[in-house]
Amino acid sequence: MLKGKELQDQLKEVKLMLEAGCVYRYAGRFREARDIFQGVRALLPTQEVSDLALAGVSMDEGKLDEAEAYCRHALELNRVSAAAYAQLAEIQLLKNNSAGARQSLQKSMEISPNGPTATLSRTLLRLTSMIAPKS
Amino acid sequence: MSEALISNGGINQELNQIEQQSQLQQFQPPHQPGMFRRILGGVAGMAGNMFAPGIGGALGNVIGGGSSFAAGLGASGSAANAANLAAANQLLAVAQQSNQDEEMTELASNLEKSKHETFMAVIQNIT
Repeated sequence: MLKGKELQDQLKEVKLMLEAGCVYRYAGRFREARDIFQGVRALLPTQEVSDLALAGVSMDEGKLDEAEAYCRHALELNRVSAAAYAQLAEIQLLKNNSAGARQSLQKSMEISPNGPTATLSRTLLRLTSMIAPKS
Repeated sequence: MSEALISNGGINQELNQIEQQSQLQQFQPPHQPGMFRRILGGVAGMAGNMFAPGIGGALGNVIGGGSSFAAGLGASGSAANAANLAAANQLLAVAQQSNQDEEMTELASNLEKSKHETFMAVIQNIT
């Protein structure tokens, strides 16, 4: 069992790994990003962050069902994850499920009415309203 | 005597000139408005057509002294007005499309930024 400074150092390293995984993802190197996020998932199996990261990679790869499964797993780990609801909404939007996306965004905004997740939810809601009349 | 003859011949010449001038004046058309006035009428017609189609031609005629030149310019002003209107409509459509594109780009940019910031916040909240 890690305690105190040791635990903080380990967490810092994990956070750095996640940021590196993000860089790989943004660079389009999905295999490397996936390897890193799966490593983090093994290190922190009770945290939803690695599932969210893997959902993002799957979404970029166009594997929407897989991305949704990761998101739902993230929500099982943390029922009040506003980021997980926002990401799920984005996947639902990509799957042309505007009604589901709107519900997920409302839940996300209820959980976190302020901060970056709320900004993301508002942007996605705007996008949903722009898409809705066309469908 | 010779002086009298010469002077008589000069008078005759002057009389002939006066007679010729009067004859020429009979054949001349009635007084036309000046070139400047006619051009001004045409320009006014074009301007009038831009703001109130139909009025420009009449305005051009009034200023230009009712000449066909002014009326012609008025008519060409009307045609120019229609062309201007079509060009303005085209420009408006391009501007609207540009605005829409700009809005979509801004939305996409904000979305990516928000996604990144959200994920970074999640990472920082790991305990």
